[in-house]
Order: sequence, then structure tokens, then C-alpha cells
Amino acid sequence: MRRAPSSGVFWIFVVLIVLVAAFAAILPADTFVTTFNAQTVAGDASTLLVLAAGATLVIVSGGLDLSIGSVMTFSAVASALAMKEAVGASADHELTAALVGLGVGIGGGAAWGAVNGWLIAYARLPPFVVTLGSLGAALGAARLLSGGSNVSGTPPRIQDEVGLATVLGVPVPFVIAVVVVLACGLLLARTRFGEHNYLIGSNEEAARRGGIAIARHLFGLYVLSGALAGCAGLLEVSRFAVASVSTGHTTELIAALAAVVIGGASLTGGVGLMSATVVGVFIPVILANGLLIGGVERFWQDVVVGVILVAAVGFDQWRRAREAGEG
Amino acid sequence: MLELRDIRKSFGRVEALRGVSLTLERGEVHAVMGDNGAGKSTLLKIAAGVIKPDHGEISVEGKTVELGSPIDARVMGIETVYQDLALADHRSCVANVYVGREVRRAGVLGRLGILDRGTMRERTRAAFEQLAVPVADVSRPVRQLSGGQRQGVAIARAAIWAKTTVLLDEPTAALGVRQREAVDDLIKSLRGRGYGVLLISHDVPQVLAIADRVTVLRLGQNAGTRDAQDVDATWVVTAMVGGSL
Repeated sequence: MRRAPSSGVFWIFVVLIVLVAAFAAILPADTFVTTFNAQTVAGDASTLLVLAAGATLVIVSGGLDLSIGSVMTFSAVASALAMKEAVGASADHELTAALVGLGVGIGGGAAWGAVNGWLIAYARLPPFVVTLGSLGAALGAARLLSGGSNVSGTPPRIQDEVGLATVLGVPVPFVIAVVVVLACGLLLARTRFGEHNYLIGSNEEAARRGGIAIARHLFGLYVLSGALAGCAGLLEVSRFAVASVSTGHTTELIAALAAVVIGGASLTGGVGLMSATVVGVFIPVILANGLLIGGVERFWQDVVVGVILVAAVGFDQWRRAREAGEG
Repeated sequence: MLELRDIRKSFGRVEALRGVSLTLERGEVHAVMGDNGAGKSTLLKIAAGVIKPDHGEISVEGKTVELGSPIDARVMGIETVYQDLALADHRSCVANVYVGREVRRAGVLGRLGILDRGTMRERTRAAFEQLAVPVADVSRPVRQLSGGQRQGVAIARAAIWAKTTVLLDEPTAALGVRQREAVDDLIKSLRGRGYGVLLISHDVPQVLAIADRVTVLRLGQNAGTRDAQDVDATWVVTAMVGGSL
């Protein structure tokens, strides 16, 4: 018997439910299972969903984008600085400032994506090397822009009306993330771009002989991945009203990759579902949330997420080896 | 219909083809045989537009053409089944048939790139039925198929898109006896539907059973073209190894 990919999603979902049930049972009654905590989880998940959506697209193509955490940092810093500049002294300019921030954040991310994409698609350098380089470069550039310190002082209405706002109790950043993920899911599952993405990831030579313009596709793909990282950076600025340059969002990078692999996407390309990634995202998010409420020191999150990534890849390899053995 | 004239090709100091000419008519299976290194794969790649010849002319339906890429060859109605089949293992038969030629929905959705999977699935199913490709469920990923079925998918893809010519590179090299017969039937049905089939093969009994004409290459030169019914295995082998004919 072969499992349909969708039954993979089912099992991750079961794991997620077990995780939630376990935390609900262990943690004090009015801490984990509360509306406020559900909103916190949704907010925390929003940036990760957007990052993981891009990572899913890239990984399905057989590629890798390690720069998304740093590009997210760069976009957050660049957009925060641009908004401060645009808003100037007058509060009347807040809408203009927000639009400028949106353009700078997404455009900045897309620009890093274009650099990655050009080097990978046209100069034929390995994605691992290219995006490891831009991981360093984008973080450095973010720190240069901000003078090495966090950027605060963005227009307060952005936090009030976006970052901390809710629609029918649902945090606005989460709504935005859901829209972005739905669009990426449609792109992957229903469009020619998505089909080409799978084909390139499954057998690049077959795709080339079939007449698919591989370089153009990959270039566009990494631009999209960068733009999505930029979008994640904007969500962060809107939520916290500060662009942090301290970490380069390494934890988010690792968690996004873990989410994609937990969702059953193969790092060798050709396999992966957006719906599975979405479920996968909540595993590191719930774990981090539960551990935090349980009083475990914050840095354990980083350890746990790292372990999850390696464990998920290991499990995936074991499963594929077993399937190959059966086949 | 497809004509190759005085084709020469060198790789560095190795002369792979030293002036080979060959014709392929409609409704004909023309087998090209030869020992390893005789130049048969190079010849196929030139006809497929993968490699450019150093010298010589290619004409399709009497018109001289330049095959600068596999896409050029496809536009000329020439489809190729490579030895490695060029299938995307994780994708369905349908996706593999439509690689790079996906059908989009009508209207705005299509302009947004939305695929019409229903149409592609139906057309694939119909084509597989017509060609008697032994795959019942065209939505199955190709990696779940047997070697013969995979070969069937690759050949059917070529047949669906070819206008005049199908080039086959060692289609039965890796197959068992029964699967080989299924592929032979598929090749015969291509001929019956009026395609010219250029068949690169090692397999002397197969060639004698299904080919109309046989060309033997030896050391990059044509060692003889004959009607398949006029020759036997001894002639083929003798021509391949270069004994006196």
C-alpha cells in the first residue's frame, strides 16, 4: 500500500493535536488554553507561515534559500527606517509612510531574491552557497543600515491598526499570512508556475528537454522567496513596532525549514504540499509557546527547533529509504 | 520525409560521425544499429536537435532546416524518446505527457496560469487507450510504474506531440521479454499511424522483427542500409563488426 500525500498531512495533524492536548493537560488551566494565548500563537505563526510558504516553493523546486531570516531582518530594518523618514514630523503622513514601508520592505526582499536568483539561475552557482553568502550579507547590510542597533519609532498606527489589531478576534497579521499562504498554495498546486516548480525539482533535465525555461523560472522563484521574506519582516515590524538586528532570525529560518520538512517535502525536490507545510508550521510554534508558558528558558526554543529540523530530515530519509526498498 | 545528408561530427579528436546519410519515410520504422561508439546515439542527438553537426544537411519534408535546439526539432514535428526517458518520477503520467506544454484554462483564469488538469487528464487517457499503453490510471506518479510502463509513457508522450517523426534511443535495452513485446507493439502502432520512426537499437532480433529498413553504422560511417526482410542476423552482425559482406 502506498500512502497518498494527503494522509501524510493527516498524521502531522494528529501529532499536532497530541502536542496541544499534552500542553493543555500539563500546563496550568488558565495559561495555555485561552483566547489570549490562541491569539499569541496565531501572531507568532504569522511570520513563520509566510517564510515557510516561500521555503516550500523553493524546496519543491529542489533548491534552498537559507537567506530568508536575514532578508526578513533587512526588510524590517529598511522599511522601519523608510517609514520613520516618510512620516517626518507630521502625523498626516502615516498612510504614505505605511505604503512606503510596504514598498521598501517587499521590494528590498525581492531585491535580495533577485541577487540570489541571478546567481543560482544564470551563474549556475549552488543555492546552498549563494544563499549562505546572502544570509551573511543581508544581515550585515541590515546592521550597517541601522548602525548596529534596533530600529524603533515606526508610526504607532501601524502597530495599532495592523500588528496588534484583530478581525473577529483573529490577529490581522495572521489573516495576512493566511491570505499569502493561500495564494502560494494556489500558485503551487493549480498553476503552470507551480507545475514547472515540481517538474524542475523532480527531474531538471526532463523539464529542460520539455522546453521549460529553467533559468527564468528559478530567477522568479528566488525573487518570490525574497519578497515573501520581506513580507515576513513587515509583519514583524507591525507586531512589535521595532526592527531587531540582534539575531538575524536564525530561529525563524530553521523553524520554517523544519515546518516544510515536517510537512513531508523532500529536500531533494519534486515533493511537497502547501497544506502540509501549514500544519508543519504549528509544531515548532506550539512547542515554543508551550515551553515558554511552562517556564522553560527561552533559549531552549532554539535548541528544540534545531533538533526538530534534524529529526524531521532524518525521519524523512528513513521513510524514503523504506519506500524505495518496497518499490 | 526526414533526410540527413553527409553528417559529420567530431568531439575533440574523436570523429563520431564521418559523413553519414540516411532517410526516413512516413509509416516506416528505420533501425540504426551499430557497436558501442559507432555513432548511432550521436546521430540521434543531431536529429533531435540536441547536438549540432559540424557538417552536413538536415531536411524535413524536402526543406533544409537548422535544428539548433530540441525545441527547434519539436517545432518541425520531431519528438524524441531518450534512453533515460526524461520522466519526472514524482509527477503523474499526465504531468509528464504535458511537460512544458501544459493546457491552461480558458479566459482570465488561464491568463493567470491556472491549469486545466481535467482536459489534460482526459486527453492523456484517450491517447493511452488508442496507443494501448499499459497504464490504467494516468494520475499515478511515474515512479510507481514498471520499466515497461515507463517506456510506454515516454513513447506515448512522443507520439502525442510528434507531427511526423519519433526518434527512439534504445527503447527496450532495460526491459524484460514481455515488456519488450509491449514496447514493440507500441512502435508498430506508431508506424501504423503514419509516423516515421527512427529506432536506435542493439537488439538484432527486435530490429529484424519490427523494422522496415536497417542501417548499420561502423566507426562513424554507414556500413550499409537494407530492407529488413532482405537480411538476417548474420548480415547485421558482420556489418557491425566490419567483416566482408
